[in-house]
Amino acid sequence: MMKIEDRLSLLNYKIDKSYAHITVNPSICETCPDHFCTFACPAKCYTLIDEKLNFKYEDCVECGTCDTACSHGSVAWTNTKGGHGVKYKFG
Amino acid sequence: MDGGVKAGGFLYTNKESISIGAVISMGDLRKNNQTYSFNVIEQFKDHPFIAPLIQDGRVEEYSAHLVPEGGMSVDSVYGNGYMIAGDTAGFTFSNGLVLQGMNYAIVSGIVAADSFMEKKGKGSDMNFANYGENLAKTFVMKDMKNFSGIDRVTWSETIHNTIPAIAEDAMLNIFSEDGNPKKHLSQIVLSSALKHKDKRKDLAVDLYRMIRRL
Repeated sequence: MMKIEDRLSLLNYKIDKSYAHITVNPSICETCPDHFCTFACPAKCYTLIDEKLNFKYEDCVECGTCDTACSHGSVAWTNTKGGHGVKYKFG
Repeated sequence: MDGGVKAGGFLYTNKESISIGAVISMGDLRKNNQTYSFNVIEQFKDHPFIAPLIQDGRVEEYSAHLVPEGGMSVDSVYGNGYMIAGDTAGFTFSNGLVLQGMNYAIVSGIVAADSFMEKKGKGSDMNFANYGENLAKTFVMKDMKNFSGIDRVTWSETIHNTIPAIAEDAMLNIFSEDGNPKKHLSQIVLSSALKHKDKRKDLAVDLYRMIRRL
């Protein structure tokens, strides 16, 4: 089984260090009963470390899943600013 | 898939590559809450029918996208200063064999551009009701109306579990020799279906929906 980290390493990103296009509300995540985002995100941007949600926008493949998956209102999803984010070779 | 998560797979042949993917029901993934979406494609690649086809292949790229099925109503896709096109408006659907969406994105995008040009230079009214009217004339909205509710069929227990189980049982019966006189095909299928009579109500409802919607 090819690891998700290896699959993501095939992508090119232009990371916007000054702007996170997705943010989460830590106080909501702290009391979240399911952490469904960790299962739904296809790029493993959401992980649990010591029972606490860890989120990294840098690996995002801009699919929009987390915006719909989080039913607790924690995820604030926007598009990346022009020229930034993931670059696909094959579309 | 594992844990009862309904999913569909695709394998498209391009000129010099293939595109392989899995479409997963978010509702099932939520109910299951232990299957990681990014592992599903790897399970699909390991399937005995698929693995030989991609043997020695090399992964060139990985991507993912949310597929919002269903479609918005024509009155909801425009307003003062905006028009919604493509998958943002939910212009996608699957009939179980083909996932439609790119075609609707292209056409709704063209219609949005044309609708903007109709308004341009004609005062300050930027309510794009004309987009809704123009879109309603295209196959986009006709398909959305015609196939509305199809997701209830394509993601149903009947399609994913009951019918495959009946087909498997019937095929086993057809291709097995047990020394008894052969039955008619209809008798075999009926006999297999009766083994799932607890699902007969769902089966009847979904078959009706299939005939109407597929």
